[in-house]
Amino acid sequence: MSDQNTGPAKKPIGELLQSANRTFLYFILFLVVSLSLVVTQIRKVEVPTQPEAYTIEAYKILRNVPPGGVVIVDTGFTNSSRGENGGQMEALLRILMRSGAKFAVLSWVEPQCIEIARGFIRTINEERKAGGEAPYREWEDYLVLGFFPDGPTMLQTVHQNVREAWKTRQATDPSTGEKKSVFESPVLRNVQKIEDVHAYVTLSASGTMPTIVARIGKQVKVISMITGVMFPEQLNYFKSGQLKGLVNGLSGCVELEWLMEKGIDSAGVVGGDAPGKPVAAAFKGAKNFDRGMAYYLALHSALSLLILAVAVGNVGMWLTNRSKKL
Amino acid sequence: MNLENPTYVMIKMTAGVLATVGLYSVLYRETKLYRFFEHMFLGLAAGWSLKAIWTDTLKDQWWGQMVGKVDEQTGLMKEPAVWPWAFVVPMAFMAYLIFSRKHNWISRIPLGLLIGLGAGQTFLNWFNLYGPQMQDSVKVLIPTTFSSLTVPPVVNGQPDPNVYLSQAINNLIFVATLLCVLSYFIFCTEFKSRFLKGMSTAGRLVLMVGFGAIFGSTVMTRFALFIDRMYFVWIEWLWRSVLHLS
Repeated sequence: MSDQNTGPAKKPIGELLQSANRTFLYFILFLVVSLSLVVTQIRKVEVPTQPEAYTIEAYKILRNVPPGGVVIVDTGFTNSSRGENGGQMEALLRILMRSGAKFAVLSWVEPQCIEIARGFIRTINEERKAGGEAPYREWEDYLVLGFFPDGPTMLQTVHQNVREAWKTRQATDPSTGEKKSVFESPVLRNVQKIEDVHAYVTLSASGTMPTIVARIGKQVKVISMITGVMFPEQLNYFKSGQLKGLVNGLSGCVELEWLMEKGIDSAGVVGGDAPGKPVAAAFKGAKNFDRGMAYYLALHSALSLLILAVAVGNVGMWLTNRSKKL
Repeated sequence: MNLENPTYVMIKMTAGVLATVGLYSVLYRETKLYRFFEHMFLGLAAGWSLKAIWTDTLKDQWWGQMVGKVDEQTGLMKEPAVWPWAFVVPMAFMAYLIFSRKHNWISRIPLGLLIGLGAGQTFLNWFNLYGPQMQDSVKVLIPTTFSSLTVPPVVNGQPDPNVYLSQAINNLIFVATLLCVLSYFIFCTEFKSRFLKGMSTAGRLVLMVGFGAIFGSTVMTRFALFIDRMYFVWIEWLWRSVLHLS
């Protein structure tokens, strides 16, 4: 007589819920993210947000750099964290260029960072040209100081004498075609000490900020634009006043774009319309929502999927435990 | 080379898409395709780093200083050569003697210099880094006004010096958390009192909550990186470059 139970044993529902195929989960994530990105692109979805105090402070500083004021952009990210730092860099460049601020780019994290930053400057310049605005010119409006292999020592020297720290750095003066000291450029001509700089912005995927704050944090306003991984440990520095502004990963990038769109009125309300000089004006009618907002719906969809997967797994575990007790 | 040439941009982006697909193929299995793109990426990164170190640093800061600068029109020295920079080369090569069994002690000289430089800076900067945070840990626990339970809206951007009840409660939670976590890291003595044991346990629990929050933030980053790659493939490459849609 043949055995009636030769087929594979059916898994209880609890175990089934806990043993979802990993490749299947990746595929669902791929579908959800791809669909969200395409929907955002077609429908121009704007997910509302409420900027945090640290992002607001960062925006206030950057938006109020006077025309001709100098900002140092310390770039420490490569394409691997473009999802967060890329949007932050684009928002930063738009704010600086629209305010007429001058900026100098340097890196001491990774030699590729400089080329990545050049790519972003090119992109924003193309956007300005397409919008009928004058592009930012190297030497006149911005400088690339290059890569510094020993960042901590460079920053220690900046603390004592910024002209000594960057004295060997040269850039091409387009009027003569000659390489000259960066301090002859209109960007750094009036910078005698680091206190003459309006802000020092670090964009990084890792923990470079403490090295900067420890050396020059008392002399210049330091703003950190970082990935979500690094955010929790950097919040302490904002709370203690060592960091003057903080932008947290992708959500921080969206908040920055939101502030560029809405502004902060004279009463300090984001998007408010109180009479008087705004604390940090919006860029009305300009392209403010870009990479951050383009990713935001996809981020929400992916996080919802994760929460759902965790919930399903926990229900499965509860069912399994209950059936064992019975 | 014109970096804005559409053909060049298209080739560059298509190569990027192929590399993205190749690297993500590891989610299925570690294949030869994945290995190929992994090694290509490492090779490119290493090659680029060498080039950047020469052009951004060594060329101007070392070679240029060592050989000086000659004015092309007059043929006279524009900037004098600082020949002692040549001593940097043997100093750098000394570090490589770490691979020699007989002479590896020599490598300790440049390494020692670097460590000394780093240690000196660390000592100097330690208080700059943690001093303000320790100072900020001392918080007001008693409200200075009861005119409002919560912090009223900011008027004209001026900070309000008063401490309101809600702030005092926040400060109390902060100080209690700080003391509990610190008590968890006291290993030099055994806690016998129930109160101190409870503090230490509470410290461990709030640490776990903190790690959970950090994990949540980390997940956001990982998703953002994946979303960025998908945006590159679907929107930047397919939508804009191939289909020319706006």
